[in-house]
Amino acid sequence: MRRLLRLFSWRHARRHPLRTVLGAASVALGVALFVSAAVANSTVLRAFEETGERLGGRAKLQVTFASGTGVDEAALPRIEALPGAIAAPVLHRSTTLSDLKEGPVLVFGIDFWKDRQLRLYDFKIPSAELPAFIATALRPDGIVVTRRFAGRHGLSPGSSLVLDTPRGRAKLTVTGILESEGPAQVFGGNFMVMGLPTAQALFTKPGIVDRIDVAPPEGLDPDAAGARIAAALGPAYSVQPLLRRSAVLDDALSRVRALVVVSVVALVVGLFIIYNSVSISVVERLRDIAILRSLGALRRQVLGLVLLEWTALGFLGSASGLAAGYGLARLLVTASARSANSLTLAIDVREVVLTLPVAAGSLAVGTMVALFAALVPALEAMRTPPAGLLGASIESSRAAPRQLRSFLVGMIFIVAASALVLGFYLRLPPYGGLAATVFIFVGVALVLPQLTVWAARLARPALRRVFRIEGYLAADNIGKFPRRTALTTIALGGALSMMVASASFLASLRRSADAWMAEAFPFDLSINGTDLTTQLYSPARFPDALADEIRTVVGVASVYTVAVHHQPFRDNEIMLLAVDLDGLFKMHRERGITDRMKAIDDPGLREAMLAGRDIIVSENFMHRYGTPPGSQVEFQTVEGPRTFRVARAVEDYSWPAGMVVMERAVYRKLWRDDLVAYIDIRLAPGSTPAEVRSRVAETLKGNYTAFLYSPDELRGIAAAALDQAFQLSNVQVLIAVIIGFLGILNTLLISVLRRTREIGLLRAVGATRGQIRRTVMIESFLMAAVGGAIGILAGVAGAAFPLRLHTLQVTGYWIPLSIPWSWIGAAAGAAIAIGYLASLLPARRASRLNVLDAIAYE
Amino acid sequence: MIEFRNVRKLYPQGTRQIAALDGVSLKIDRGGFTCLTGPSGSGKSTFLHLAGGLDLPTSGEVLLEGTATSSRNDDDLTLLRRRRLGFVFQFFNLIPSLSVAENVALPLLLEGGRPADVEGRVAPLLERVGLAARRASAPDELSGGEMQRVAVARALVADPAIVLADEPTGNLDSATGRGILELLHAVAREDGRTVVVVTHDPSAARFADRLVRLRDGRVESDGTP
Repeated sequence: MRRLLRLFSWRHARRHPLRTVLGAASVALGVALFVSAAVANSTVLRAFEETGERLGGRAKLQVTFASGTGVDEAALPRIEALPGAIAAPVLHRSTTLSDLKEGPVLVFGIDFWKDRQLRLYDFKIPSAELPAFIATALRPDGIVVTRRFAGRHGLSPGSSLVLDTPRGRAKLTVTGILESEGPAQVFGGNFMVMGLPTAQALFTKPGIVDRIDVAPPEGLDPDAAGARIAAALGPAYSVQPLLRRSAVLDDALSRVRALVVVSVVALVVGLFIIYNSVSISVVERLRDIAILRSLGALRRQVLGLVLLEWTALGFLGSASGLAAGYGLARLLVTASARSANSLTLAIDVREVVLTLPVAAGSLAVGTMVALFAALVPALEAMRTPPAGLLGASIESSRAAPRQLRSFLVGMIFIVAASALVLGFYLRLPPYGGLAATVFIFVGVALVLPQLTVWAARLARPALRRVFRIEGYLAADNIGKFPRRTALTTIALGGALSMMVASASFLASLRRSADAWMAEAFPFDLSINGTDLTTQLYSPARFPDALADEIRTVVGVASVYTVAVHHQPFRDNEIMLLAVDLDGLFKMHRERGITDRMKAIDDPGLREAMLAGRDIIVSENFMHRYGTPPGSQVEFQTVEGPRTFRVARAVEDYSWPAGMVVMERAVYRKLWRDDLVAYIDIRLAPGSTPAEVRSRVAETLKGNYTAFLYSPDELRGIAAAALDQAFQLSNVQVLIAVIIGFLGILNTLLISVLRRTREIGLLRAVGATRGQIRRTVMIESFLMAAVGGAIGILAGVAGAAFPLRLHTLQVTGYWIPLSIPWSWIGAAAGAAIAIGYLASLLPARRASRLNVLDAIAYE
Repeated sequence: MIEFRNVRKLYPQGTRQIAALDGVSLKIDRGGFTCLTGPSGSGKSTFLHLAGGLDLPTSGEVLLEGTATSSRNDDDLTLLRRRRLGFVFQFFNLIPSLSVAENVALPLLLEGGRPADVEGRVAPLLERVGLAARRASAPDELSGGEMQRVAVARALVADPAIVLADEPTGNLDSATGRGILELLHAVAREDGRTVVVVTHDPSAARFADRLVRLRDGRVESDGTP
């Protein structure tokens, strides 16, 4: 068998490198997509765990108020009462250093002597000198930076540093250098430590920290320890594992997981290409197979040869795909980590890890796909007696075969999968709907050959009228090999449908978000504490009193404030927007109430919200948690649990886990939080945005780091963030389109080869080179046109249905459909371009065949 | 050695069944050079395919070395072809990616023969057909006659009892074709093998010990030329 493999397979591959490469490339591309998504997913998860472990040290639990807003230090002795438990209060914030143009950095405010029992801090100071060092390092204006950060910015003990805080820009002194151990290893050294009192003064208030980290006693299970601590503290507190995933991380991960689905579809598309390539390859070598069989090669010898060939090609393709996928994964991971860190630093990706299961699994999947694709045509060839194979090379006179059985099976697939999707979608498990969509895809692939036969027959007269004999021959050829044509067009169609569906979904999301922002934002300028172009969700806060200062700025007509709080709710983290409702609606009325706001501009509703009885929720909150208007929701507040009535559900895209609006005064009282995230300004008549911007900047200068945005600028930032989020799925779609292109190219090359004699005869009886070229090109355009039509229709249908429903299931967002006409045009253009480009080489080859050689060809 | 008993072979053509062979009964004993002639469509090639176990009859029996081909499974027929039969085709049917020597050795390679043994059989055959100097050439570097001589050498490499040749001179000029027929005749006379040649070529009759003429799938005449 080794000898046969060397003599037949290897020699054939060397003589026809392009065809060999095309087959392997299809496997490679499909595997690359799959690997990239799988590696990105596992890397991000692993990085999250590792980052948490480095930051957490020995701590396994965290204690906060049940409301999610920090915890009081008074809980500490009650935790420490558990024998063997080690507890340390921590205040941790992501902030920026606008002077150094650096950020975000993670700042820990700690009680050093408790915290060192949990985490490793290496100051390279002898133990005897440590107390004196700590007294200096963590003094009220002191901050300790990492060796890497100091090196980047030329800092040393005694250097000044300005930190952006809710109390304003805080000028601190570098009082120590932390070596790269423990938490100092994270985020490229963007980690700093200060004394807990200093952090409380700058970020919150005395007695309050963000959490208390706990290492359970030796030998006690963390869950058991957590239960005992929770019992000791009571229901006002929450005891959770330290490594808890945030809604932002989950959102970033769900996007990566969605790419796995896209890659599975691409692999299925690749499977069709490979099947096509293999079946054509087997048929192309029928004469060789016939000779071997007539000379005494057993069926299993020939079958084994073909299968071994494609196993080897599949393996080589998979290995290439693995390498390419790893490269693509690095891009995916960077984007996902950036997205997940947009609220607070949680993921420090240090290396993109390709684990053995993913590598082995990808190699196996790609190889098996190629093997499976080879099996069917190879078995078919083995079923024919050798005499039949010997006579099978000339097939130009063959009539179109019937595909009725495959048509019927395909129809059953389509009907069953459609019924499943239409009838039971919301009851399907996650990704069940997308799996059903793949079945529809397979069903269409089965019906398409017979449809091709019928369509070719119907189209022949019209094509003859328009394109003369060239059109007739092109349609005839397509109809003679319906399975090959169908597989090629469906591969291209699948790829283009992904492009259109993705673009449609993005367009729908952008349009909806844009329309929402246009109507929901009544302000002319919004003051934020963070550069939103680098970090989408601002962790920075301002004191309430700053709004009063802003009101006095010339050119400012009115101001309202918004506090933002991430509230734990049913194993998730929702966004709580506490809005000065009177200020908000005053501004809306001044601008002109929009239709969207009319629904909630209700004095009765406002009165109930002011009284703390009612809240407004986002539609995705309502869908995710089953809380329609009229239902009750309970939140844990600093004042204890509180129930609110859902008064309205509104369209809102602020937060994937859901958003709640309440009156700011109610929030301030119940959560005891007087900091605000946004101060929104309306300009006085006659003032220009530029003038007011500069006056506000002057007012804040030196005291606060602030960024001012107009609604248009905010819409631009949101659009850019969406584009970036979809950038990598666009890469995947592009790869799928390349796979579709390879499919058509492959089919045409083989078509020309198999029609060599026919082409020779046509030339002999007077067909010009140009006519031969045109025949091939028309065939290519026809396949590309059908593929394009399938892609556009399936893409729009896919966006309209499974994608939107899947989004509703996973995020709660119901996105109104937007038809992306420009992208439909792009898909049509891509189909035409592919049809043209894929035809060039085969058309050239066909037109240059030597007439005599071609006629003699067998 | 080869016996046909009332053999019919039908092929579908559209909605009809065409009888390529229609009740052929014939016996070819060991040794000798038998020519099968007849106009196009008379069933000559079909006869050869059935005789070589490349296809099975629709009805009747084809016996090879006393056993009906229909009663043998595919593996048996294949091994029979490999070990007891040699084929020469009209269009040579050489594997383009193999050299002359490798094409000749093909049946032995399928048998899994050791390289030394294979070479021991191939080299003398290449000498015999006058192509020892071209052993490393590719088929597309050879003339038609040379290619057919390679095909003859390949047909003999497994030391078969029977050599079946389907229009071996059909693609050759008369002089070259005569050379091939002389070679096949020598195979029959000197080696004592049974050679059956299907041909349009009237000059082939000069070499034949027996001439069978087919017409419309039936034996029209059968005798000495």
